[in-house]
Amino acid sequence: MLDINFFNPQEPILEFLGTSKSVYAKRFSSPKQALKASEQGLTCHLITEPKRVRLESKSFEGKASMIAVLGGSIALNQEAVSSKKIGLLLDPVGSERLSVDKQVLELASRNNVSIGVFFSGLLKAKGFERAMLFKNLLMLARLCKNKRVPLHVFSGARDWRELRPVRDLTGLQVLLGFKPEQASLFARQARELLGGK
Amino acid sequence: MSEKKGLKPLPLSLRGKKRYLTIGFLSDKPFSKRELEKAFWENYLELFGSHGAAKARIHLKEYSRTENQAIVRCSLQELENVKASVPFLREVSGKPVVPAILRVSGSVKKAGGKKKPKPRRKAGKV
Repeated sequence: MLDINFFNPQEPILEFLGTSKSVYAKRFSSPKQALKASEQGLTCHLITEPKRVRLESKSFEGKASMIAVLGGSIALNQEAVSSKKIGLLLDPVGSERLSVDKQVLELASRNNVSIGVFFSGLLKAKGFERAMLFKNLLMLARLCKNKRVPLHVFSGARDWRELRPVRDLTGLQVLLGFKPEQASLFARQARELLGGK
Repeated sequence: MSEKKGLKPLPLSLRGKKRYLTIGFLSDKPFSKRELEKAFWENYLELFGSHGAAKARIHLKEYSRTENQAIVRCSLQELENVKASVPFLREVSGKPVVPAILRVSGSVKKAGGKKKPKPRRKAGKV
């Protein structure tokens, strides 16, 4: 099963977790740097600015194993789902105001953009912040179900303490309203994201 | 009338079905069974509240410090919620842990619990 993290975990830890592939996600400064990092393992280039979505999706194509947009704002989410070269929109919602709507998910469905959520965000949040994040995630899951957009859950870990088995993370999808069979199907389908478009 | 000594055991049909989860832990510091049970309950309470925790009927059956594995019993109806709550466990009495569900089964034996000693054969019998 595929997981996305912000560091490269050691092999014994991945074996314990049952994760076959871990993708190292980073905002690489240049395509050359991404290519160099790809030699050591799977990489994911993160785009964090709305203006750079089109430019970087072209320049990093084939240099990193996958290209994703680290969302959060309305403009960034809108730009990510409008591009046909982007395969994955990560963390489109935070604990503040909801930054996705029906239109965004409709565009994602049309352009085959999957949605990814990092579990580490929920793990770090506590009390009211966690409740708000859950509220936004529930709305996102409802929209994803309605528009038939796959919703993946990844660890998004910055150190070994935040790593979780991907098959256990399907429990979160069940909490968000997906059926257990559907959740495990999304976990298996996550591998296809590596193929790109 | 003589005083009632104890309660009658609850019939099997009223006990409700249960499942056993075998959970493995990755941790750099050891912790006790009591600490783990407290952390597990607190984590579940934070996620689902007291009503949810009561319905789940969570019970830490066994914990092996050498294997770093625990067997948790819960209600079958709340199994999905219990499974979803496991990754939310971050630390046990301040020690960071990474939990992973290894197995879900309907009996302790299959979950990998302690095996009961076999009854001794009676002398003279083969």
